[in-house]
Amino acid sequence: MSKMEIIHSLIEDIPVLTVSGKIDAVTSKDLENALAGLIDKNRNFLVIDMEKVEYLSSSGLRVLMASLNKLKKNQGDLLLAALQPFVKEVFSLTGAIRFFSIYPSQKEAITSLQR
Amino acid sequence: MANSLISDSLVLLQAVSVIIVAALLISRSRPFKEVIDGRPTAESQMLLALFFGMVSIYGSIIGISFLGAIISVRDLGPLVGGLACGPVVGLGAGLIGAAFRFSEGGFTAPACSIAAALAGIIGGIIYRRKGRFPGIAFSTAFALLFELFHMLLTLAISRPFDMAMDVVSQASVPMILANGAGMLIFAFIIENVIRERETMRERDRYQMELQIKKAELVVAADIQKSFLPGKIPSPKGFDIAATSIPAKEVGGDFYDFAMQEGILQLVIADVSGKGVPAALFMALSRIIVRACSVPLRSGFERLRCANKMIVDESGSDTSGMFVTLFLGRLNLLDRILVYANAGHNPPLLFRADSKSIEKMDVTGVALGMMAEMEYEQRQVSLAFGDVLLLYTDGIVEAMNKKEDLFGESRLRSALTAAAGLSAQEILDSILRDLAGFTEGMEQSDDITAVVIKVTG
Repeated sequence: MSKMEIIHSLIEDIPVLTVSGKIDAVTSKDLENALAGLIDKNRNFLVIDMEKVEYLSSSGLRVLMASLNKLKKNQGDLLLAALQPFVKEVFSLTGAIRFFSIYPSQKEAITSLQR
Repeated sequence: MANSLISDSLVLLQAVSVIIVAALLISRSRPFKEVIDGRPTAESQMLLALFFGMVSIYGSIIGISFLGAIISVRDLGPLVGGLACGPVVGLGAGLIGAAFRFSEGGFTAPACSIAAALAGIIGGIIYRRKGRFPGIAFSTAFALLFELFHMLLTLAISRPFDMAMDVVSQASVPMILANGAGMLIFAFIIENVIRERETMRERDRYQMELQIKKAELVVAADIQKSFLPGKIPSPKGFDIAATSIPAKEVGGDFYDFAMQEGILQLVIADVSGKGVPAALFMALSRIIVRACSVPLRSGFERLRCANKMIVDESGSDTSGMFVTLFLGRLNLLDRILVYANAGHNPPLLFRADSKSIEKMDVTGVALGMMAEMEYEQRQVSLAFGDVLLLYTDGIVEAMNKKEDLFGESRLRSALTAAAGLSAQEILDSILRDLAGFTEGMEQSDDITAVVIKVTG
């Protein structure tokens, strides 16, 4: 039932994860592994395109928080792009919105990193 | 010539069939399974020796005449008995086979008897050395070599030499091949049974572990239940009901009450995730919030304290774990509720006079996300008939078969519809509406709700 897909790409030498589907207790482990893989390769600035993410549970938010904290320790950042209203609500409700850099689109997230 | 080839082949096929049936029977027998499990009783070893001895006797009797040469598979029984069941069985089967062959007489009797006995003894020694059945390829190669040795032995001790030479030159190739083929069949069947037993043992072990884990979870669930208030307080003028239903055995939701000096402190909280990790974090968070709830401290000070302690003590920085928490302090005399909300689903307040619903918004970040956070405090005055509903996201994020969420608007309707009832009835009614919506879909997150109704 719970399905999520992650597409890896490299845009302007910045790793971008394009996630689609539901990020819940089951699928968040895949996202955690994908992020950990990039962080282990010393990629310190990552972009997640969440345009096609329709649901984010607290387990999913935990994974994003943990990755953000790791990246910030390496002077890096985790940029989120194109949040759907439901997903954005999870960020604003919990207050996590204050810690993430959130952009309207993947393009804008990447542009901000190039500056 | 063609006829004799067919009839001789049929006899050979018959012998092969008997061997297959024998192998299947013995490999499924209790004594053989005891051997595989490494704990054969003396009785089992005796039975196996007897069985393989009979196979050896059969090998002697059948003495297949193949294209003029007599082929015997007498050594096969002791060989298999030794290789698969150890020296005791090998020796027993070998002696039985040897005794029978000796009683038949003939000028090759000494050589053939010695060979039968040695087959069992050497097979048994190999088993002892390897600690187990040595496998299909090894056993088959060993059978071929042993038959070669049998032929040489016949030449060495059977007299007159000319006759021995005659027999050996005719029978050696078919006998070596027949015993090798017989061993191949036996070894294949035995190896299968051994693998099957190993898989079964592994499965049993796995199931045992699973049972232990389940039992541990039951204990954990009992411990966690004891963390929830055993008795819901019933202060004068208020009607209170509460429930918490974890999605798994244990969960990350909790609620808490504490009454002192005319003030009822109420807490509802939801740890990120579910299951055991959430349960551990829940236990820690609950005790920290209690520890921070000293008198004279206001709601927002309590949350600031709890947040700092959780960040410092829980490793939430690495795990990303957090807990959303609503803390309210209700003055039982003037019915003023002071609250602070750390990223928790805003509780709903049904107003009896206007039949409308107010939300008690978030006033700060979920606990554990970042140290040094501030939590604003707000207050609201409750009136007769008002109903306060605290809940966790397991309710609004419950899904039906079409993957629609129950959502806040359905929850509002459920609350409004039931607001005239008692606190427990309101709670039951909301859960009933929820169950009607999800239609038996598996509960995916912990569900917790507290209802407080002003009755006096």
